[in-house]
Amino acid sequence: MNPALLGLVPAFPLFGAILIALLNRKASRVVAGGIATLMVSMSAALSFWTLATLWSSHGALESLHHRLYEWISVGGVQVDIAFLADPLTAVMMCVVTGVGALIHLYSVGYMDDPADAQSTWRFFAYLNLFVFAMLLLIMGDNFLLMFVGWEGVGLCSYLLIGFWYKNTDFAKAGKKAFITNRVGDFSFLIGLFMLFWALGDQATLSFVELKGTLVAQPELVGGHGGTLVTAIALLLFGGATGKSAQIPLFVWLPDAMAGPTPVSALIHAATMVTSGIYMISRLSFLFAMAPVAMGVIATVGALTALFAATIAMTQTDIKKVLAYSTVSQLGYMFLGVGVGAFTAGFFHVVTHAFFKALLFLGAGAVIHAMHHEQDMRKMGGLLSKMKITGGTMLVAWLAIIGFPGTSGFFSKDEILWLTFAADPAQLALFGPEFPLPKLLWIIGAITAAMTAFYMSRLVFMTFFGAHRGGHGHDDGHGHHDDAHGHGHGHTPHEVSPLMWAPLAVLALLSLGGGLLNLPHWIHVEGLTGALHHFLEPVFAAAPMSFDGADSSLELPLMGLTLLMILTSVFIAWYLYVRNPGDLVQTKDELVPDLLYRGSLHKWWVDELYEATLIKPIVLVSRQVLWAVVDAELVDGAVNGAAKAMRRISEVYGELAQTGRVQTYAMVLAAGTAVIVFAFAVGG
Amino acid sequence: MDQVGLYPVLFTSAVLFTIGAVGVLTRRNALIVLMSIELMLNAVNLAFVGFARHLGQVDGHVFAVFVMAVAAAEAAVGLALVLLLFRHKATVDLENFTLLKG
Repeated sequence: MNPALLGLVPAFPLFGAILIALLNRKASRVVAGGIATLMVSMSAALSFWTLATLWSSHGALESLHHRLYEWISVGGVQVDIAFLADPLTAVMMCVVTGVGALIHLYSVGYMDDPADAQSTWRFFAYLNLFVFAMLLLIMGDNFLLMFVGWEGVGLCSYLLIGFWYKNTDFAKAGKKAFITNRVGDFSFLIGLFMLFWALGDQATLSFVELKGTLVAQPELVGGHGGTLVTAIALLLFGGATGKSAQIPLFVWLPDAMAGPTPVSALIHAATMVTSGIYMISRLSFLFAMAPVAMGVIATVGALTALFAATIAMTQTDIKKVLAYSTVSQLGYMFLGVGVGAFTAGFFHVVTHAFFKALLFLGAGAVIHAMHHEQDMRKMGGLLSKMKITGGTMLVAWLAIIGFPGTSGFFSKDEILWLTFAADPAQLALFGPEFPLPKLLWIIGAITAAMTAFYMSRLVFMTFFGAHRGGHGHDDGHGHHDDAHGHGHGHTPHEVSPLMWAPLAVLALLSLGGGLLNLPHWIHVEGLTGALHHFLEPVFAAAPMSFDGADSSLELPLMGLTLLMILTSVFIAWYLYVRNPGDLVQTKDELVPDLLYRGSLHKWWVDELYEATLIKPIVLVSRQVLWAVVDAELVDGAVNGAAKAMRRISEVYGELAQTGRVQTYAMVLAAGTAVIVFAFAVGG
Repeated sequence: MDQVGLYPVLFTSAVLFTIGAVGVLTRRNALIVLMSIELMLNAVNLAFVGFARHLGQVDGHVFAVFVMAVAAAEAAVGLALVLLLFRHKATVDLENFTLLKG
């Protein structure tokens, strides 16, 4: 493949976005959606070609690189608009454009609400713009281009979360996402500046050059385990916590569900939120030099996975469950890359993109069929009414809980095993002797069990049992009254083929995605560890060891996890299918009230931030920054200068403004004389 | 003329210009002010011609001719204005004309 074609990959969606924006209201849903889908599909075709080119070269071709033009050249630093496609990028490109194209197609069917007819063009223009920005992020060969994409996806995320901006809550959710991301971006920028500053004469923004420099001269950033490199890695990771919704900046992602469901699937599940993991993988050579930072990443990832899972267990909004599940799964990915299992973490990015996109699109189909009902307590029994959606959702469910044979099983298991087996010295957060990997494994395994529970709960409440909906929306009080609700209102129906076809494709990928990277104990020539071998050159500069545990433990541990998962599914089945009588009742007799309410109220994190951060900031802004600094100091200086001039004029105006031309001529002559004199003296 | 160097010419020009300038700035009679302006213009002409001779170029001479032409026009307009001022207030004393005062 000619590397020059790389430039076309992001160009197609950009062109699509511009074209749709120019057509604006003249483009109907089908036209705008058709253009958008076509553009992303063409990008996808090129992406798969790129992947095939790299894959079939068996390592002979390290990467494809194409330089469009020189962008910035300052001193010794040159920044190009240039694209780099190494195996890591190529896989990510395929995920973004492939899953992206399916979601675009689905959106054509989904966005058919007549109330949105005037604005669907906006939706598709933003969606295409998002794909463009995401491709810049992953294909840029330097930090700056990546950062443009990094901010671009944040912008598109904001625009799409607030797509229905007339709803104030939705608009606020968009702002929340944007501002929370800015906090992370600030950290990312500081880390970048520090890296740039540390390199001194050798400063470069290109990933390839940076890798070469750091491998050759690790002492530039303080050497392996140095304070400087740890600080840089932690600050960059701070950026990742914002974009990829990790503790402490995860709060925006659940609120981001305000956007249309395809947006949640594409941006807030499959692609944008994984860019933090992508960034760390891309800079694996840097992160591997900072064991403390790696320990922090793995720990934050594991804790986020557990924390989000506890919240997901009691949510009743189907999209909220999926949102917290996404936060939790992202935590898994960070756990993977944190322990140094870059391939495993990235493998989970890929499989998660398949099954989580599928879950969101399936949930979208359910919401669509239920006429914008998102409360699972009003669903139930939908499998018989929506066979295709339900069937594909069941596949996604099996994949996310890690049922043997599905894609999620392989990727999750690999992360867990490599976490267990990681060399503790690589995660020197609490010293090299501390058995951090084992502890993280326990958290990971518990989270896996909890994932199985809440996902089973979601599937059982939605698709099994008796249908509890059927009110319609006439009940203005919004309280569920399921015993009498049968029989009237709209009946759910299967969605159109335009919507279920992408579901079917994603279901196949969720089932078979594991074939990309079969574990070593299933030996199939060419498939075992395929992704691992493919990505190996990318992570070669970050050697990690996984001999912290006896390899004979691998299969027993997997069996143990599997047992926990199946037990969770059984409990969920018992609670939500076997005994559906008290289904909509809270299960608070089973767990202490405080735990239940804590989970339901998201452990009051939003309230905590509101009280400790937002309130004081607003207060200081209003009372000090606005009332004192702005109104008094800034305005005071400006108005004061004007007032002072006025007073001076009042006093001296009488003297100067005589109305006689000769006075003015005198001043003119005197001024000229001063200038001439100054020139004469000053030379 | 050949014996006169550049400096005496410039000196004379400067003296003439200063006399003219002081006249413009201090005299109250509008006619005297106009005459002083003529003095300043001719001081400049002298400098032009002096430099032109010194440098052996004709540009200065050409400029001097232009200045004379402009000065003639200016004198015509100026005298007309003075005439109008006189008709308006029956005096040409500039102390009486302070309409520019805001």
